Amino acid sequence: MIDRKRYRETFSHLRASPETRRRILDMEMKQNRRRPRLAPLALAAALVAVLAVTAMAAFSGTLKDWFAREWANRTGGEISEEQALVIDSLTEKVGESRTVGDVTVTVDSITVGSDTLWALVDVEGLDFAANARYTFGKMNVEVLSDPSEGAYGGASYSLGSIGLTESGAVRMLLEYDGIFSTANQLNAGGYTLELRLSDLTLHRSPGERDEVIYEGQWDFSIPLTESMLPTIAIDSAVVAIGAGAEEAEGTETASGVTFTLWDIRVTATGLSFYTAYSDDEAVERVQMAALSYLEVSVILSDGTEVSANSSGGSRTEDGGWYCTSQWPAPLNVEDIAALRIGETEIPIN
Amino acid sequence: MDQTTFTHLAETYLDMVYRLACHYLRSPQDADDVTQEVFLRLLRTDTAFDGEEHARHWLVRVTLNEAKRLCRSPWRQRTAPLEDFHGTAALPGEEQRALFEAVMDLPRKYRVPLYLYYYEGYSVGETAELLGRKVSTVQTWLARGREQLKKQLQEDWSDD
Repeated sequence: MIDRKRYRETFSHLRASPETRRRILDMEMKQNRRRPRLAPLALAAALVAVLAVTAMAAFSGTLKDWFAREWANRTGGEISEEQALVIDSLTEKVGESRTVGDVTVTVDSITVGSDTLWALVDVEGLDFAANARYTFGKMNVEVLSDPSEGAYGGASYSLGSIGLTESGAVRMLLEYDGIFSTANQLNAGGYTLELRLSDLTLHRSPGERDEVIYEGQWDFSIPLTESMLPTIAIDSAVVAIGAGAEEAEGTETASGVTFTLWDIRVTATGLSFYTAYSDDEAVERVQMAALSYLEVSVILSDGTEVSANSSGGSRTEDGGWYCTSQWPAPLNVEDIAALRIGETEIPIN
Repeated sequence: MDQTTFTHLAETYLDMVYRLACHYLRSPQDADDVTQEVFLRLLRTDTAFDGEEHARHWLVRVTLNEAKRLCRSPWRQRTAPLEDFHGTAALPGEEQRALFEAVMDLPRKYRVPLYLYYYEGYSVGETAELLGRKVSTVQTWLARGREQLKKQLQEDWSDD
């Protein structure tokens, strides 16, 4: 029998983590501290980093296998042969290892896109549990030289275990998304991924504190190979703000408000564009609220619509915005029939 | 807001905010983020609360808004499998685990009113007002949510 008492008893066990509790109760001591979690990247004006331990079913395959799984999760379909070739062309074996004491960390392979990259990182040397999740207590991920060239820009990254390999190593996935207002692309050649990983950590359930299981520091410097990335360029487009923004902001004033986008670039791994707010203050207020809700997706020639995996924006020197969105897996740009940005569909010839 | 009031409200309603965010977002990590954001807003608000119930109402509204904002934003997307909750919930029995999973499997539009109605004890009218929906809509959502739980758990509700 289900009743209110059982419902309450069940969900009374759902409680905020001690870490969250501590942070909140600590707020009273430091009223002027910065917000405890990062603002959406839409507000980023400097390099920021996000550590997220992703929670996923066991996985021990290659990056292409990973993309195939992500694609299937998003679309219910398989990646095409052409798409597989695109993934292959952007992916290369790295095989660089660093050992500290008993623990060896290996960057197995990397896929480099226009403003995003993925890398498989293996950790071996300890007895790892198949159902546990691991990460590093501290990490720093940078691309050098700075693709933003000192101008506005931002980046986010995450690294967490996604399964065990057949040899018992922990396999982790690094995902890095950059927003460089200079529009420089990571696959342009000449860039290096600088990766510093410290203190191997067992990620416990959200209610418990993570545990450092092996102290050490593993440093990598991996050149990002230049690759050919076909780009679809669109000079400009006007897009309407989505109804989602209206609902989220509790206003209907977003109706009819538009953004003008220019220098739109679509690649196998994502989309970028520049935009700016209106000079009209009333319109600007709605646009400012709405930019964070601007939804981006790609429509393929078979009708499949795939939402961007992540998006972000950075201020530009002239006060406008540079925005990027990343697809969940590299795709064949020849398959793209249209983009959907906000409420507007932009056909791709 | 003065520190004494903030501490009292945080200690009293922190878990309520977290539970509501979990029901909305189905992700303990995102619920953590929203919970912190809500209390940061509480710390900075100039709202003069007319009693504890007013503060609780404010916290529910802000939690729903923050969760909605996070959820609708393409700038940050994250989902978590149900097993992620097990450590948090530390559920002692099979019956509770089954109910937990069944509720979390429901669409959001059923999960959130169920929580507000059954856990927080808000009336249908109050739940409708908090969600900005018509009373009849919330009644339908509650009925359909209960119906889906009945089917999934093969158990009846004692109060439907």
